[in-house]
Amino acid sequence: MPRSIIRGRAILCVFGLALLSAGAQSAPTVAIITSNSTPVVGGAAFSFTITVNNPDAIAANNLRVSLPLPPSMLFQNLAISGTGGGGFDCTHPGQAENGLILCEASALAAGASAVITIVASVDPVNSSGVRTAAARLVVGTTATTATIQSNLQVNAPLSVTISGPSSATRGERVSYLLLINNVGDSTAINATFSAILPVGFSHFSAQGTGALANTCDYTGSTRTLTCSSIAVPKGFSKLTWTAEIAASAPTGGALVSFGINNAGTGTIAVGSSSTITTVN
Amino acid sequence: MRSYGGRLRWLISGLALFWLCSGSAYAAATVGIVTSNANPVAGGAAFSYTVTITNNAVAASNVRASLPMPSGARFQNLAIAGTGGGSFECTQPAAGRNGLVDCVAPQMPASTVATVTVVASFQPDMAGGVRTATARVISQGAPVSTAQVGQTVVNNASFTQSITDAEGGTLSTRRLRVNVSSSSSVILPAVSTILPDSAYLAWIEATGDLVDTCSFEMVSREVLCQPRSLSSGVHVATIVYGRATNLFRDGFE
Repeated sequence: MPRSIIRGRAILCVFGLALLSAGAQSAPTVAIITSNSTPVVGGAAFSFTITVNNPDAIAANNLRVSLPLPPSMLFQNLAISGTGGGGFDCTHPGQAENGLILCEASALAAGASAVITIVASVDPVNSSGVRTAAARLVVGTTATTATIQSNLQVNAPLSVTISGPSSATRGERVSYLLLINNVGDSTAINATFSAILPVGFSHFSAQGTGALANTCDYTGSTRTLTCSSIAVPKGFSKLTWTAEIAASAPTGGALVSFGINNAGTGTIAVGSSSTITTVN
Repeated sequence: MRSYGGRLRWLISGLALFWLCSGSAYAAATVGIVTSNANPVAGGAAFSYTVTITNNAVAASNVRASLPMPSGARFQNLAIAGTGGGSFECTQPAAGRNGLVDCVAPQMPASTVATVTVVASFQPDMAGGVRTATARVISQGAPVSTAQVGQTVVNNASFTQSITDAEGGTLSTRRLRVNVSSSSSVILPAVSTILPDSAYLAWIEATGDLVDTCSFEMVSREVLCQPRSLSSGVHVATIVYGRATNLFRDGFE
């Protein structure tokens, strides 16, 4: 087809559409749903699905759909589908970053719909609670909004264990291994732990990993090592605690204990542990 | 209520517009993508994605091409070329970051090609495996066009471990040295050493990725360091330990 004819048809098309749109205006709708209304903090990814629908008999022009990811939610990926999805182009944050998803289309045909599926996850360092995702559609000067709530669940069951030598001699130094295991996906925030040495023992050194790295204080008067208000991530956190046995320490079984004072946002699976060293 | 005349006017207008708009007035831009390296190394040399946007018909309007960087890929830089490249303007992530490359042209002339070359690299602390880059282009009134290219990322991590002992009086020192000579990081390594009989831990001074990752279990006498990853270079844990027998001996000497 000659280009002059194509150009002429295009001009007439635009002119005709303008005339029609002066007498009729489309009103596309927006809706949002989620694949998981109770996502686990730090857990599996889930999706938000935004559907933009044009139920009218005339195309809608200049559409903008935006979804600011709620706080602590991290973008993973995005897909566009639907009969009108081909007209949309989206910008979004980098992978595992929070930010704005913005999708634009110059037109959405009559009766067409676009489906934008956003896969996201929740940062593991978070409290439980409700987060609201609000998708906003702007067509020309008209805005409509759809919202959905996610009720975040913290999953951080904590257990503690302590191990050490079964026997020692007065005047020796002995090392105990204190271990916290968080088998959940979430970080337990503001958790507090303490360990107590028996009479005749005193603190020599402490060497920690994970949540127990440089987070514990020793109080000599109570022979207590306290790790206060710490964040315990998924997995193991360890503390090697070396104590000195006084030459005057009582002989016999000496109990060293380690426990959870407060699980913070986590839960207690195994709250205390102890080991006995027989002092000779 | 509209009159019959009004309805007829709408019907005729609609039919006329259908004829006008259903023709080839809109041109479809198409997209292709290739990579300079199908087997990039995690933490290794940069490579490129070349996204080619082709418009073989009449001028295309509102052309938008997008390339989300695959997981683990880090943007380095971008260049636009080709006969239609002058029409395009791109936004991209900051250097060293993951994100979206998005290029827009209000008009792309007929029979032109735009080439967007995106230089990227894969982060060192990622496992090997397949990553897929998907480029997508839309233009006004035309069907969407997508293209994909797959890459098999290689993690070439390897490390060597050595120990050096220095005996002391009450306290002795063991220097645990780990050298990662590869560009990729070692993921979830376990580096360990067994201390002599009846050893207790005094403290550990560590460097690099071994900081705050080591613990000691007195029964097995094992010092175990478990960082999330070990990056290229040297990492040292200086383990200061004592021996109960030494303490006992020193106390009576």
